[in-house]
Amino acid sequence: MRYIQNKDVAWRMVDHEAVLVEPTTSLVVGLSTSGALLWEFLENAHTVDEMVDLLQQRFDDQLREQLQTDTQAFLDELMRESLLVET
Amino acid sequence: MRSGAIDSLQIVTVGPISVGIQLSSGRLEAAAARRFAGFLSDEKPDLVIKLQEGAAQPDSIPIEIQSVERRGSLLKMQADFASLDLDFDSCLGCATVITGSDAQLRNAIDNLMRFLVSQLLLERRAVLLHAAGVAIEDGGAILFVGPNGAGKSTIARLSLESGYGILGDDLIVVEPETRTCYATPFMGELQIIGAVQVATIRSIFLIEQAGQHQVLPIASAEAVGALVAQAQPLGFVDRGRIPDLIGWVSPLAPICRRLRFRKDSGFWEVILSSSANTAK
Repeated sequence: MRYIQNKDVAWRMVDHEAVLVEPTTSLVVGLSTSGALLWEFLENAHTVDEMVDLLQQRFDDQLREQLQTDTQAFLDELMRESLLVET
Repeated sequence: MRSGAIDSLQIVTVGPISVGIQLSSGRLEAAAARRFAGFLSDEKPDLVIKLQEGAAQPDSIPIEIQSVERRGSLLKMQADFASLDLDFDSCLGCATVITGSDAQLRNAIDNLMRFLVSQLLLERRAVLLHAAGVAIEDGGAILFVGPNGAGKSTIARLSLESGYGILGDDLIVVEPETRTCYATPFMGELQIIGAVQVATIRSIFLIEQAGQHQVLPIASAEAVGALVAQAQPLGFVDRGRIPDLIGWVSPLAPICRRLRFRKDSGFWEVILSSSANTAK
């Protein structure tokens, strides 16, 4: 399964973090540095493994298992808010 | 007896913008004069709206905006309190507000002006922000940002009781680039107009009620997100302009913190103490 940004979401990077706005609901979400890294990556469709690979390159002191858990939690939350879609 | 067709012009100045309202009846003129007392001026208006009364409504206070459509310089808004057609190029527009009791009429004009002012501010990279504004020393102000029910009016009231001047308890005009804030005629629960008209923003607190007073740091994206969420009316900002809006308010992120407070004036001690520590 691959994930990609919902193209209706308006967003902008702020100091290596990101602010997302879902225009239909006016939901506003702030993403941390790692969340913003994944969000930018998801301008194109990617799998969970590809996202974890990206994070591991950036945060090489983190265990892969922990990165997988964090990535899945990130995806679950953004999918629940319709900020991401599956392809 | 008045004829009703008087077409007087009242100029309402809110922060950096002035709106001319061309009023087609004595009743509208009286309602606008009462509603915007303290904000009427002789400034050259940035645009002029011809305002007329529409159909009478049942005894309710409608506030919902149904649709906003922006095509080039043209803006069309339909709400249950008014309809508006505006051309940003010619700086002219016309609006019809619902009529009814005097309170309904004043409320409809107030809601129309809130929308109009918010749209004009966006043209100037400024925002109408859900915030209470409290004046501090040397022409400065602290803003307390939060949605309805967060405690803005409570903070404004407690600040007044502690001897501070206020800009307002509900909606404040903010120019992020210059860190300037302005009072507005748009009141919250306190139903009073602020005594201070303009100030430099020293700090912004994102407020939430809690069991104790506490000031906490906040990440940039979270701060900017909270400011964007409280920009009025976010739901009717063009999607294409939202990234711009995020960019405009982002210079305020470094002066944003979170304030947890309970309903007593002890929060000022925590704020002043945290400010002193930050300055060290």
